[in-house]
Amino acid sequence: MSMASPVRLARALIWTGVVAGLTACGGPQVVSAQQQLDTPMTPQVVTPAGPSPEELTRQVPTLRPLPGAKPVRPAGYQAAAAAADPDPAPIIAEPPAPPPAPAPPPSDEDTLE
Amino acid sequence: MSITVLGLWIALLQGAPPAASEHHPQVDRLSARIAAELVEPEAVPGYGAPARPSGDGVMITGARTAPSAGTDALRITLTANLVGAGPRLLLVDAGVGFRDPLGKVWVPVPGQHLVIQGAESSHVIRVLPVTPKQARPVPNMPLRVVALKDQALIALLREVRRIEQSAPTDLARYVKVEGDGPPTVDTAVVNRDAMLASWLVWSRTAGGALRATFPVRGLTLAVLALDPHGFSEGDAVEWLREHEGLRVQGATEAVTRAVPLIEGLLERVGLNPKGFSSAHADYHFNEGLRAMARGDAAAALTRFEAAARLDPKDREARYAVGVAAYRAGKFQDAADAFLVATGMQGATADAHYNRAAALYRLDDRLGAARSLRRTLTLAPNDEDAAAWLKLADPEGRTAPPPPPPPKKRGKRRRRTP
Repeated sequence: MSMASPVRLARALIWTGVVAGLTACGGPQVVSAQQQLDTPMTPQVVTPAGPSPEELTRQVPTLRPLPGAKPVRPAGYQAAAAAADPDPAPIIAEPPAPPPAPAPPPSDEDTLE
Repeated sequence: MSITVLGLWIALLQGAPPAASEHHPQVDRLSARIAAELVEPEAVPGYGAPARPSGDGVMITGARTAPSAGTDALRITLTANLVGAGPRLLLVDAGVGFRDPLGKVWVPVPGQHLVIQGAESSHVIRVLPVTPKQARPVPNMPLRVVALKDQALIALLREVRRIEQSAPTDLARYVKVEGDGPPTVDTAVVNRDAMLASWLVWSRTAGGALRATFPVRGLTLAVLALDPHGFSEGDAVEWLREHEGLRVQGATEAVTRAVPLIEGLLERVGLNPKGFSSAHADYHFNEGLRAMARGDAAAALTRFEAAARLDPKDREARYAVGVAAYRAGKFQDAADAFLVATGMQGATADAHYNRAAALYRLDDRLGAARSLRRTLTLAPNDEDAAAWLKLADPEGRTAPPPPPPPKKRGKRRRRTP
């Protein structure tokens, strides 16, 4: 019986390690199609990267609001007492349009023509 | 013109000119002469019922839309009946509006007057829209009458009439009349009166006297500027594009020309002209609020910054810069803006509080605590500020130092020389 060569010994050790490793990991698992169908799909839970808006709201003071608009018409506007009806006198005093001038009587020349 | 009408004028001219408060016996005002059948039967929000006419005089019994020309004011036809002796003069005053079948209200162009005679007659007057989103009704639509309750609108319409009346005497020095040609304004003077003179439309009466009228476009924009939902320079450009078919450049130029007069008119009746055009801080401030309302913090920030630049003493604009910067995620800019706002006269507790919020975001707890303490100085009952102060500075490191103990009064020792 001859002694095993160091090379063979090394190969045997390597294969032993590989087999032991595969055994420890449970080895390649064969899952049947039926098993796949029977296993319910579970949604992946995504962990938020930062705090939620609610958490942020709790962590910092809430900003106080903006002031109101500055519109053309101020709130509570009251027209000045001077805003009374304008005096109609200028309209009344306005002279009327002169009546259209009567057509001149036809001259003799017009009649002749 | 008939002899009867001439008789009216002679009768009117013979009598003493009526004072502003009293009514001439042969003059009626439209707002007081609306027949019951023409009044809007249902209560309209923001409007009332016209006063019931009493005594003899003109009675308006019908109103319908009439064909209008191009971009001019909408025209309506009034049916007038005369009760009692005539003829009479009907002043188309401010006080009533005409409500179309779509529920929109139109107000008369100021300064119109009609001579009413005969049992029944038809007269055309011009009217203006009171809200921007108001399409012209088709001709021959029946109209109802409502009483205006809007003090600002009535004041504006009356002021227009007052200007038109006084302009021929007050502004005559800017008007040039040559021969039979139309009056023109040609002046090198630059002041408000000269600007007003060049903006008005000048003509001459049959007697040769000067007559000034407001241009319809500018008057319409001035009325729309009172819209409670806001109507500013930018909206005016859009309105001209939509209703007059102008291009952007033409509409912008038209509005730019009209802005000084619109602002002058608003100012004369005690309104805030700074909210209308982009030359003022208030305009940009309001635009900023609109941008914030639609969730555009970046655009709002630009507007608020423009407002703060145009009016550096505007504390609210500076405060708003802080809010917009905060909403845009620029917390350091927000803290800086709030700092400026807190240093201005009349600084509010909210400005200190918001600075604290911005500093909180920047993780400057002690800085936030100092701002919260100032908030509590101005608003001692601010529970939020007190609660946040406890969280920001639980150890009280920002608390003011206790006052020094009072010195004990001991017997003074006299120094011996």
